[in-house]
Amino acid sequence: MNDDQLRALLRLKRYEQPPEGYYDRLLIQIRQNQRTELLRKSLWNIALDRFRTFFSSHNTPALRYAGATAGFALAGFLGLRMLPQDPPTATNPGGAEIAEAAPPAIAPSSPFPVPQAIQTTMPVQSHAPLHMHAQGQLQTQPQHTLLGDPWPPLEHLETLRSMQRTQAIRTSTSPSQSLPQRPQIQRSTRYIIDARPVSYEPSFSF
Amino acid sequence: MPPSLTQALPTILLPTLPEAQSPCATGALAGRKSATMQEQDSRREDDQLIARSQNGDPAAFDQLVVKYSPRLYGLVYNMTSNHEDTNDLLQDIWAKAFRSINGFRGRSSFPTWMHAIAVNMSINFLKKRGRRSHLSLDDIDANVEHDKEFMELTAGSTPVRETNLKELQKRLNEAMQKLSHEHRAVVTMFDIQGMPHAEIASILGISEGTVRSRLFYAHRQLQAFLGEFHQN
Repeated sequence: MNDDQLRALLRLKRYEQPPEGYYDRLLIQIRQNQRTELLRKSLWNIALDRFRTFFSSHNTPALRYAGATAGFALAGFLGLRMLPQDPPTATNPGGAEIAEAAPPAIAPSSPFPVPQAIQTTMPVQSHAPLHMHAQGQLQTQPQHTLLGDPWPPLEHLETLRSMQRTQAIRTSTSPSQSLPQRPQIQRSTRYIIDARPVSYEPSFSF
Repeated sequence: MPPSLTQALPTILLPTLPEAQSPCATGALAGRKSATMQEQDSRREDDQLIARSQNGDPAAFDQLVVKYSPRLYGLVYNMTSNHEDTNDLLQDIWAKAFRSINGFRGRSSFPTWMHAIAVNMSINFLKKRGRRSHLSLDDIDANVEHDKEFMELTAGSTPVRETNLKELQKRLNEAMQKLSHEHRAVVTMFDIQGMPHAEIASILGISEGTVRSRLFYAHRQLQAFLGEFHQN
């Protein structure tokens, strides 16, 4: 069978028609189906169909990318909001973490810290004994350590006004007698002014 | 200057009109013009009906159904080869068209748009139906006996003349079912419905070259399927 015969045979198929009156019945059935669909479907289903039809007719790659980007941005924002926040403490109502061994975020440009910085970071322990390490680090200790621990030697007292108070405390015979009644200081809190600021330490780990 | 030459000058200077050379060319050109004008009129009518449908006139949509159902029936029936499935599919196709009519922007013609919906839904239906055979034959219209190609086929001492027409129809439907869905769609639109390659490419979303290659492959397969029947 050659191509022409095949094409002629195929063209005869256009004469295959449905029974008479079929197209009139088809129109009636289509109308009935439309009414049935409207009555059966809920408003929610109709709205969902309209939504799908709208986006299928406006289906462009740009819209897909924009929608995906917006979805990712929203998911990231919600994920960040749901991250657990650190509980607030008495010394820092904002909830910033103060490590027991980590010094506060003070990065002195000189080996000796600035008095203002010390006063702002240690408001509770303004009367706490101060001592300087041999490396020039200012360290405060709670009261209970005064009784037995030897203090390291103080150096460069002239640069710090609070050092004079420490000198007075150290020269007294009985630390417990010379010291006035002070409010209880939390033993867990210890401020260490180091050359390396607290903020330098990474707060996360892989 | 000789008088014969002066008499011939006006005719030499006049441009020759190709349409006036032969009556056959004139008739063919007039036929092409009328077909183009018919297409334009049809498109204008479709635009008006679509606009009315989008404004909520159900009668306009009914007119579109009446106008394009025969063409869609032929497409879907030749894809499925089953009358009941064709009926169900046609209702689903028109239901989808009714839901989507507001999204029709006129970038393509309405028949192209409807054919695209019909082809996609038919292919999806056939994929779900699987390979189960559901052939059912529609009655062949009586006008086929007056068809020139039918007379040529049945003339002469060929086996086709002695074959029952129903048997031929059945064999052809079986051969069509052996094609893949995509090849069958191309054969249906080009060979049976007489659509041009460009329109088929637009409906299926492929290039014209792909349409031609699919047609070539489908014809080879049909020739192989029908060759044995033809020899017998």
